[in-house]
Amino acid sequence: MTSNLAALRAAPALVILCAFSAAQSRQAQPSPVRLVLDEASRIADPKLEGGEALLAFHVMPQGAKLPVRVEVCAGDTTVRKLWSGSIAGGVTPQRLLWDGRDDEDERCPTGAYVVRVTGPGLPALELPLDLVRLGVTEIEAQDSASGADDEFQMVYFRKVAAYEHYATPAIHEYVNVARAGEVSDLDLDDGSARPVVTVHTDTATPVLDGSEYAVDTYNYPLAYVKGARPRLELTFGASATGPGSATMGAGYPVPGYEIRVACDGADAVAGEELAVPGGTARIDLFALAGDVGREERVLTVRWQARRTGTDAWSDIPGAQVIPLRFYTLLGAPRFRMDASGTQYAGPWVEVAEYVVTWKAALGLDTSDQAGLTEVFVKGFFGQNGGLPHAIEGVVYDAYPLGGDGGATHYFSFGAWRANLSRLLNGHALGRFINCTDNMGATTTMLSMLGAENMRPVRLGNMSLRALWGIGAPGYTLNLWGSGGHAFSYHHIVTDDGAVTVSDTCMQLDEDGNPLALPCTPGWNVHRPWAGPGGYNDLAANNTVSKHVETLPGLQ
Amino acid sequence: MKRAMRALFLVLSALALASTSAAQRAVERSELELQHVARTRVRYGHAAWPSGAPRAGLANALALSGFTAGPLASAEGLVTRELFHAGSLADAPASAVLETRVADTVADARELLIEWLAGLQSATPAPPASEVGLAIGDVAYVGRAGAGPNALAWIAFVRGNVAVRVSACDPVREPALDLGALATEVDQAIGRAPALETGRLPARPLIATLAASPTSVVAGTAVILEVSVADPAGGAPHLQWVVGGPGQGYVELGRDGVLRLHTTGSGAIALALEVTGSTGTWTRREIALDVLDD
Repeated sequence: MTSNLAALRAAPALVILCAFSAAQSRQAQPSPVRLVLDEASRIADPKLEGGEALLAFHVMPQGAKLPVRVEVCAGDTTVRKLWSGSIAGGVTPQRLLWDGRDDEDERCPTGAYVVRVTGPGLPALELPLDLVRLGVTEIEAQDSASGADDEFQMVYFRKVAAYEHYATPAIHEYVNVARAGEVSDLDLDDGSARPVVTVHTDTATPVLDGSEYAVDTYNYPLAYVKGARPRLELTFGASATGPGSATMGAGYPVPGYEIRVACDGADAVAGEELAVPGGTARIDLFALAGDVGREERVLTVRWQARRTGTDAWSDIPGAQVIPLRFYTLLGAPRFRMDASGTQYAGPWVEVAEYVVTWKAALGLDTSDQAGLTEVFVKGFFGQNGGLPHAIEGVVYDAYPLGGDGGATHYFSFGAWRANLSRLLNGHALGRFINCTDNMGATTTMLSMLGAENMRPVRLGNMSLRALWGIGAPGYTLNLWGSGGHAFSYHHIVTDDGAVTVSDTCMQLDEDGNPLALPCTPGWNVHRPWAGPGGYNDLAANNTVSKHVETLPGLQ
Repeated sequence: MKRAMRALFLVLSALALASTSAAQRAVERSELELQHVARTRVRYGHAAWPSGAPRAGLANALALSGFTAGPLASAEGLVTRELFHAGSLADAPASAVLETRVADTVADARELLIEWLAGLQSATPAPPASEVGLAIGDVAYVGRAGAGPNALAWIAFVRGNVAVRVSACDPVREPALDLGALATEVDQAIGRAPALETGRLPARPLIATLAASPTSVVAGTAVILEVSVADPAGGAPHLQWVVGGPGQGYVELGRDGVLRLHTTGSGAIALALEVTGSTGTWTRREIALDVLDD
């Protein structure tokens, strides 16, 4: 046995040349000692994971013993002495893999080869094998086949020190192609397969190439409505790296054969599954989870081939494994009617990621708007469960807490716009926030995740009862430290015209005595406005005026 | 990214563009808010506020003793800078935030001060700056912070047609931050700016050229932008791009020094350039592009 014998393996057999091998078997039948082909790859891309070309054969009859040589040839030239040795007769096949390298351990170029199996006095088995270079270089997320508007670009809002909004800065969400000066899209210049790109997990800054947005290597998260079947358009690479770091073609189409994609966990779109270099195919992934959150998927891209004009598809060995990250939304992102700008392209990555964190920490369900709102109120406020502090570590702007009289820092009344990006950027405009800052953040964050009809509710002056402000250590009956326990106004949110209201700014006291400490925490999640135990009743000593307002814009 | 139907996009975008300005005007202010603002005016004696002389502007690049400013952010004339202690580490948090607006008129500047004051939830009015020994602006108020006996949370004032708010980012972390000194320096900078003659408005920057070529492209195309702006004070203006959808894209200054709109999604784009001049006045101009399916 030669020292560089390809490894044997127990992988599933992949028979592409059924007709050919049967014919060879019939040719061998007259001989008392014969080679019988079990399996052979007809088309292979050894640069795929598990993509080595497979050959399996055995010698008959039982008890025979035969010296055999296996070589890979390009025309009349032997490029690789794959194996040689003596085989005892029997039905157990000899299984060999070819890694696509020659005897000098150099990668062979794409093209046509012949695997030749010979033994003394026997007709040789000559098996055609085409080395190709398969691979996906770009993936574009599209609306699902249902026709619903359910796929959205995700938004980042910060670029290094500069302050910018932009949607995923690309047409394709996944790109892995040659960088400037490189030889090919599918391979590195040393001929090895270009590694797949890991998911971009930063929630604020996108993938950068120096000071510019990267354009040739990235893997951005995708956003779909919950339960959707993502439709992905795959672009196949057309250029590979050959010997001497020269550009070469992908080696297919192979004359007489068709190649298509057949991904794990997905259905190819009928009529759009054929693969050609530089072309595209579309697949529909299996359905995403039915709640708001994050889902990690692995797209295992496989290829199959068939002889033109036949119906039998056979697997080409190996696969390309691409990690994908999906954020799922309650519905289409909703923004203010006159919304304009890149920040309105879709859900912000950081906002979607907050839900993931809060949901996990609180163990709550986000399959409907009620559940999502609960996660939001409790997560935003924090200080419970596994959440030690409020979002971004903010604190209600009250004098006893070190702040002042409830000033607004992240909302412009004149522009009617929430400065959410600065709030999420480590509370860049200051640690203290007030009710309007909370309202602006809550309405816009929930809306961009698909919550319907989120609106601010402006309240008139309030003579307050016991409350626990966001970021505060506990309840107080003296919010401002001066005895004036009152609001000149207050902002909360609603999704039903203020029949019920939600509030991320403070908790109320549910122990039946909201005019005294200690208190029993009461979250304001779809709390009825009116009646005993309603928001007005628990929050204020007076009857409070209210007015439902317009959804704010974003900055 | 989705492959959208171009025709639908064009119709929607036309509707969106047609409705944008109207919708912006149509953001309804609630009666409760209007009443609250009116009460705020009365509470702070707005009608009796002394009126200072309007100024030509306030330099964006303010030199404030002991501080360096972070990147300028500008939204419709409100210029925001984060202030860091000079010599602090690169990842050190900002100590203060400076917001300024050079308005056309004194009345416009006062409206922003009223908006800031009306935003206070406490039913107790904020004290005038003089109460803490600060002589700043034509009219000024402060928010005392509970972080220390002399700590301030913010100072908001108007001098002439310039509205200013200086806020402490975290008075608990920096109770000794001298917000008064910062505000005084800004106020002095306004005072040094040339006074405007009666009836004159502060000069705005000029967007002499804003052009894209071509204006109809397939998604994925980088469109070269031709831009020329003139600063009223001959300084370096601040450019802010707003890519209005439904088409998508972003503007980037390439390493070759050329500005490009990188189109990433089909549909009409209303590309707006907002220029804030070196003295704080601003202007805006918009062009339309059509991005086709790739």
